[in-house]
Amino acid sequence: MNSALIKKALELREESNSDALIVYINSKKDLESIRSLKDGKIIIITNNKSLLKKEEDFPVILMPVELPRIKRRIALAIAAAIENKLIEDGYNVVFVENTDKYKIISIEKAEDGIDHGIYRLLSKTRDIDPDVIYSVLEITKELGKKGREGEPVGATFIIGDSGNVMRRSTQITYNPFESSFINVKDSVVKSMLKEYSRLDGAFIIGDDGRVISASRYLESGKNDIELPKGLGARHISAAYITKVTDAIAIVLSESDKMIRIFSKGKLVLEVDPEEL
Amino acid sequence: MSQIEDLLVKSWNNIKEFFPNIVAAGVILIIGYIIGRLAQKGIDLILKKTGMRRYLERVEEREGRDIGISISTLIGVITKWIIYIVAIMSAINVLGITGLNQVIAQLVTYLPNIVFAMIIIVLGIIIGDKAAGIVRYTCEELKVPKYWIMGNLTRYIIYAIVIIIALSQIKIRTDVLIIGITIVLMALGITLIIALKEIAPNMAAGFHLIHDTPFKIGDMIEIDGNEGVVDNIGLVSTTIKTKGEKIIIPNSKFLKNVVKKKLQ
Repeated sequence: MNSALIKKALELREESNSDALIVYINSKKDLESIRSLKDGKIIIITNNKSLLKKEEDFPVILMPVELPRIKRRIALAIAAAIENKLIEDGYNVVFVENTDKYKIISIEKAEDGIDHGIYRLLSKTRDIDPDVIYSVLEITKELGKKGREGEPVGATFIIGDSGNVMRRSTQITYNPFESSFINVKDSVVKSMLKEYSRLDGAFIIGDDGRVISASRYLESGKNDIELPKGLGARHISAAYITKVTDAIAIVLSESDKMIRIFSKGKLVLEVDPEEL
Repeated sequence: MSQIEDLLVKSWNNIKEFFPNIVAAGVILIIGYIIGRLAQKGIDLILKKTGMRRYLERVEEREGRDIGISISTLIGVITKWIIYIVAIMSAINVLGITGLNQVIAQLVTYLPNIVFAMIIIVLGIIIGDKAAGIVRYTCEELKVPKYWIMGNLTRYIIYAIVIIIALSQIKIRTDVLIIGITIVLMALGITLIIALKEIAPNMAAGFHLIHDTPFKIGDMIEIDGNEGVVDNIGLVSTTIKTKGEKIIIPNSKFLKNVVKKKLQ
């Protein structure tokens, strides 16, 4: 970390009367330079798990996914601090990051909203790779925003616990992903999945992001599933599958264009793709 | 008038007798200096035009090495000085100082070796980088875990070989280095063979499982007393899931053992 940058950020925290300073770092060297400041009020966010090993005087929080876009990175870093009860809704926060390409200091207003839900979802996946959830969320976001060829489109993605999900579903048409090793984390796959979304049925995606099947008809039931009024078969079956397996479901509604995420039979997050 | 003319001619003859060697030596030095400068410029131009200079700079940048001077400039500078030394030697030769001459003669016979060593190092860096790129790409395609290690491994092995060849060119004994590197390479080779011995049969079985699909993800199977739902079929291993447990089974087991597939 550039020492001039962090010094400036500390000054800015005083000047702008901010409540917290969030520093995004990934290397041990940077952590040491923060340690030498002996400032207990700095919040560290990192992608690097090895930085969490040692007990520090200041909080160090893991960001489970590496986010390419800076806006999202700041929003999720703030959400992570909120989730760990270090800051609250409405706080002024100074955000600092020093990458190879650019140096950023930014004053942000903390907002307890969608990003908090996304962070909670990403940080509490047990077997599922958080990057996979994030990639699928990106795909549904783009599908929701633009639709396919201008028409609104619906899609269902069931992620994780694929063995049990496959047991509880049947193939509608021939599976285009048979014996393939296509992974949702590859950026090329995005447009491919968008095209396949014209097939009826759900996508089944493994813990590691491998696309196992498309066009799957999900077993459905009613037991103890409470959903808001107005959600149709697509949402009920997705919620049911997450109830009876350890999978999570990301569903894009064709009628109201909302993205809904289900886990353990419950609706955990509702996002408008335009806001994401 | 004729007196002055006489004097001038005489003194000129004197100078000509007295300093011809020095004049010649001076001329040689000046010519050497000019050729040296031109050669440096020429080499810079060749390196630039052939794209070698940019390539070397990129490699240096990526490797994060900072020795204050780039390899391409170094080549130019060394060439320039080689020409200077040759010029100085010829000048001394003209002056007829024999003692010095022998030392420099030895140095000059040594010069081609330095040139060759330089060429070897430059080619070695380029070849090492290209080879590392190819190996890295192939390993990435084959989905070898931690594929960048293989690329770097190739790079440093080639660098080691290049350093040995270059050092032997400038006649520095490299026996110890060769022994050391041979030991490292042998150790690597043995590790690789042991690792492949374990992985290869599993991969062969993995191809069978993926292409002939004796069972699919979601099927209930029993193997070796482990019963569960197939969760993932990989190239090397297959995961089955029971209540609260994930069992990872090497693929070769599916060829050796009886697999029971439960029919619903």
